[in-house]
Amino acid sequence: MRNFLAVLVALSLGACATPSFRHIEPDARAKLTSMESVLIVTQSEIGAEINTSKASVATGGGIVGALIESGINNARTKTAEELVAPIRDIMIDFDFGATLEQELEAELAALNIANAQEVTLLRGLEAGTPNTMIEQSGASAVLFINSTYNLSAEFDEMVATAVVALYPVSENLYPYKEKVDADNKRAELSDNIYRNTFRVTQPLSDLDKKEENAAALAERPASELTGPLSEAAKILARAIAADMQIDAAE
Amino acid sequence: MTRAGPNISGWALAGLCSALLAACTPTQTTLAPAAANLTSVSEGDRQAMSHIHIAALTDNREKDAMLTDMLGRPMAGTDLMDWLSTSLSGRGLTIASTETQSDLSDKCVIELELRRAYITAQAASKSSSLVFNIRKAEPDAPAKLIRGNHSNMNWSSTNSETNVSLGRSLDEVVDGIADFCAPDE
Repeated sequence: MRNFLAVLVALSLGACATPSFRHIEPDARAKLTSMESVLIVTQSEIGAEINTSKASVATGGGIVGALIESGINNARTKTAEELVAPIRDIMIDFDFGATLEQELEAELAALNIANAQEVTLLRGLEAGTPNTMIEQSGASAVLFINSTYNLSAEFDEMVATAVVALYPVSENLYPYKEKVDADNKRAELSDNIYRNTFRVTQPLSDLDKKEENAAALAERPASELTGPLSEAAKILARAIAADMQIDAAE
Repeated sequence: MTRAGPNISGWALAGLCSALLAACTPTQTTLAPAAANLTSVSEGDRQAMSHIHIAALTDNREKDAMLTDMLGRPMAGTDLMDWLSTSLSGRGLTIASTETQSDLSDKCVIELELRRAYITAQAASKSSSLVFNIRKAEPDAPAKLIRGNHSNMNWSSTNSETNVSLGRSLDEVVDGIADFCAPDE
């Protein structure tokens, strides 16, 4: 619940800056009679975030600064990959994509839009696939949920994210696009009639250093790692479904 | 002063050239087995692995999983098993599907099951991972997970870069296989 609130607070704060999301307009919702839902999880295993270097800014920019920054980030990536390896071994039988798919099927039913809860899971995404799926869909709109799951840079939290966008198939929904057009590129971000981003965290460990956190996690049974990630998937699905039921302000 | 590699301006030029070349390269869709990175494998290395025989090499990745969608250059990985077979043979291991073995009595006979194979990009780096279940080809032999991982700078996501990265990961896997087959294992 605490994390769910964190998501909602983040969304509310987002409204104070440049709009980072679009809710569904009430008139569009009335025309949204059916929906196809596509979940995209291209990761094969849990990732490890890094604190990216800002060396290029500190050195005033330029190619030398960029190279230094790349070198630092590369070293941090190598370290993170070494630390996460034993944790990946423990979680080898856990399928985050399938878990989130099930949670979304349960939560999206609340939208009361025909077929919204029938979720297709894609583990890879060829260029052009979203456009083709929109062109070939028989629904009013296609919902794309692109999700990632990682350990935080300090290895103290499980982090699940989703970038969500709803694209119209029916021409009577075109007027509600973020930028109205009728070209053949139907999966451009500006074609959406709804979009938002979600980030859910679950606490795992609170030791001083990431190396200590990683070592502690590597000693845990699988359930103590997959449990928080399953919970993150549940919260993510609930947050997406709840957010999609909010009408855009007039 | 002696340097182990190119100087900064050399790296910068190499990066720029790679980026420009990448812009002219068609989108990669498959792995090329012939491009498997074997240049660093000596005849001595191959001989050292010749006591290992792979009785079965199976693919048990998640269904439809892609090898990578790194930076808009998707690789399906549908030909990964061919690449693995070629690359393991090139490193000196014998494989049942490609070679007929009459006498395996003095060999370490194993079964390999591929669980994960992927390449990810983070910041300016890429990381490739190959994960296998390994077990002795004996009834009820216990399985063990072995993992190869290689992270390095991602200059331009080219096919050769990807092959080299996967090849380095496979080197780690082969080291794991050698440890598994060591007498004290």
